[in-house]
Amino acid sequence: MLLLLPLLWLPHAAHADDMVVIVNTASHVHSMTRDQVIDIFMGRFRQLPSGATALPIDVAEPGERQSFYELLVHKNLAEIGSYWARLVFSGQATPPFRAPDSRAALELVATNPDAIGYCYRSAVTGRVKVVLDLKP
Amino acid sequence: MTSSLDHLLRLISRLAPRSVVARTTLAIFGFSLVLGLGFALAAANLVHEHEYSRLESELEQLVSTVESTTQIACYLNDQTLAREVVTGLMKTDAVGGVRIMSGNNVLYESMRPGTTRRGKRVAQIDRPINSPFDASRQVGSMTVYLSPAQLHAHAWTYTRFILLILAGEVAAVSGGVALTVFLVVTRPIKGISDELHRLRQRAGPLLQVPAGNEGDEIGRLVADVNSLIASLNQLVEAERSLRIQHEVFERQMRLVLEKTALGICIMDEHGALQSCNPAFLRLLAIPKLGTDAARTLQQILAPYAAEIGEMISRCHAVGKPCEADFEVWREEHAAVNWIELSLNPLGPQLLLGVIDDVTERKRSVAAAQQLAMSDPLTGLLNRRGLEAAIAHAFAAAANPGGLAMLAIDLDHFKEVNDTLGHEAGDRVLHHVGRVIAAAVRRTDLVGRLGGDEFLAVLVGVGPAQQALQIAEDIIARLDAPLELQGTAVRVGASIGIAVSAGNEDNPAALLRRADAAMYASKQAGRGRARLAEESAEQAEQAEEPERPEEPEKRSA
Repeated sequence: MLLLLPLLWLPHAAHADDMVVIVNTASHVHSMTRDQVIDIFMGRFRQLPSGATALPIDVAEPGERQSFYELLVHKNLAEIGSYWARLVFSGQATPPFRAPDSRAALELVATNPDAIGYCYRSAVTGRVKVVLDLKP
Repeated sequence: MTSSLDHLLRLISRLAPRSVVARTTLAIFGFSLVLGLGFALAAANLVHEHEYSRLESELEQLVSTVESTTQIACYLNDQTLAREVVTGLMKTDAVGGVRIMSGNNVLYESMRPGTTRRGKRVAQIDRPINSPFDASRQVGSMTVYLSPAQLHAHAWTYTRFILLILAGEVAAVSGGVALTVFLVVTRPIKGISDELHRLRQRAGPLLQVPAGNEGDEIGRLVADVNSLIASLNQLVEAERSLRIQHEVFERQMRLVLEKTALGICIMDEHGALQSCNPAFLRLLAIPKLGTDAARTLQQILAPYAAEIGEMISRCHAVGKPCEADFEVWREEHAAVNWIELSLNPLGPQLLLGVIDDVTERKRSVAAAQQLAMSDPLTGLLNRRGLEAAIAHAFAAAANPGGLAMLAIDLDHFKEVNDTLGHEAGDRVLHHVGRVIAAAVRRTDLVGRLGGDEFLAVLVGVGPAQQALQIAEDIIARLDAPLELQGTAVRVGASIGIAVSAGNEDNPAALLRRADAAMYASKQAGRGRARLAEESAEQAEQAEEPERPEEPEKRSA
C-alpha cells in the first residue's frame, strides 16, 4: 500500500488544476464554506445550509478523487480510506456515494437537486452551480 | 509550667543511662532518627512530585497515541468510537478516569471509584481535540485523570525504599558512633579512672597515658592529673617534714621547760594561772596548779598580792617586761628564799611569768656587803660599815635623842705595838673589840674606825648617865691586864661620850662631839670617860686645839 503511494501521487501532479464544489442549479445554496463541504463529505453532517439533506457524490477515479481530498483536507486517499474503515463498525457515518467516473458524478449533480459533488474547474458545465473554489 | 518542665527534665535525667557510650549512642540515634524522619518526609514529598510528573508524562504519551481516533470520535460525535478509546485507556492502571467531550456534551466518560474525591487534588490532563481535517478547528476535549491510588502506591513504594535505606543508615551510624566513642573516649577514660582508683592506695607513681592518646585531649588530661598528683605529693611531703620538725622542736621545748630551773607560767591579765612547768611549782612550794580557775599568782604570793597585781596591770598596760624580787618563806627549809619574778606580755590577754631562785645571789651579795662593811681584824664594823649602820639607825630611830656615841681610844696601844710587834698589836685590838662588844647590848653598834680608835653607838639608850656607866664598865675591863707572850699588858682606854640632842640629826656632828670629849678625857689624864658638852659649837672649839695632843698619848 505504501509502495503504491508515489504512483498515486503522479496523476495528481498531472492534473494540477483547480477543483470546484458543485451543486444542482436549482439548489437554494449559492455558496458554501470549506468547513461545510468537509463536514458533508466526511460524514459529520448531511444537511445543506438550505436545510435540505445533502447527497455527497464521490468520484471513483482515483486521480480526481485524490486531487479533491488533497485540496479539501490535505489527506491522501489511503488516509481517507483508513478514516472510513474505522467508522464501519460504529455505523454512525457513511462515506459519500461513489459515482463510477467524473462524468457520471456531474450527471448526478445536474439531475439531483440535493446532490453535491466536485470536478475540475475545466469540467464545469452550465448544468451545475459552483459553490466553492478549491485552490491548491 | 516551670515545675512540670523541671519534672520532665528530672525524669529524663533519671531515665538516661549512666554510661557515656550509651548516652552518646542514644543521643546520636535520636538525632539521626529525627533527621532521618525529616529527610524521609521531604523525600516522600519529592518522590510524590516526581511520581506525579512521571505518570503525567506517561499519560500524555498515552493520550497522544489515541488522539487521532478521539479526533474522529469528537468530529463525528461518535459515541461508539469514543467508548472504544476510553475503554482502551482505562486498561492502563495509572488512568483513574477519562472523559471525552464533543462540544459541550459528554460523549463518553468512565471513572474508577475514588478518582474524583471531593476536596482532594486530582491530577488530570486536559487536551483540546481538534478536527482531524482542520487543526485550527476544535471539535471537543478530552480529560484524563490520574489514578490517585496508583500514584500513592507508586510513591509509597519508593518512599518505603528510602525509609529502609535511612533506617539502615541510622542503625549503622549509631553503632559506629557507639563503637567509636567506646574505643576513642570511654575505654581510655575508664583505664585512667581505674588507675586513679588504684593510685589512691599507693602514693608516688603517676598515671600512664593510654596508648594512642599521647597528643590528644585525653593525653593532656593525664598530664594535668599527673602534675596535680606530683604537686600534691610534694605538698604532703613538705607538710610531713614540717610536722616532724615541729614535733622535734616541741619536744625540745617541752624538755627545756621541764628541766629548766626557771619557773615558767602563763597567766591571764588578772593573774589567773593557766599553765606552768614543774620548776614553777617547786620554787613556790605548791603541789600543783589544781583545777581551781580562780587560783592566781596573787593568791600564791599572798604577802605581795598588791605589788604583783600592780606589776601585772603595768606590764599589761605598757606591753613591756617588768621584774621584781620577792622574799618568800620556805616552810620545809625553814629558811628565807629570794625569787625574782619577771612578767612579759605574751598576747592580747596573756602574760608569761618567769620565776628565778635568786637566794644564792642575794646571799652572796649580802656576804660581799658584809665583807665590805666589816673590819677583818676584829670582826667589828669598819668605818664605812659604821657610817652606813649609823645612818640607818638615825633614819630608823623615831627620836634621835635615843642615840649615844662612844668614841673609844686606847691609851697604851702604841707601846704594845712597838715592843711586842704587830702580831701582838693585832691580838690586842681583837681582844679590845671583844671586850667592847661584850659590854654593850646586841642591838648596839660596835666598830673600829682605824688604828686603835673604836666607836660604839648605843641605840635606844636612856639618860646620859647610863651611857657613862657603860663607858666606865668598858674602861674598867680594858684596864685589866692582858697576858701576851708571857707579859702582862695593860692597854687602858679613854672614852668620849656624845648623846644626841633632840634637835640634832647629823651623825657626823655627833661623832665630832664624841671625839672632842674623848680628847678632853685624854688630856684630863687618860683612863676615864667624859660626857661631851651639849653645845655643838663648844665641841668644835674643843676639837681644833686638842688634836695636837696626840704625842702625849704616845709618851704615856
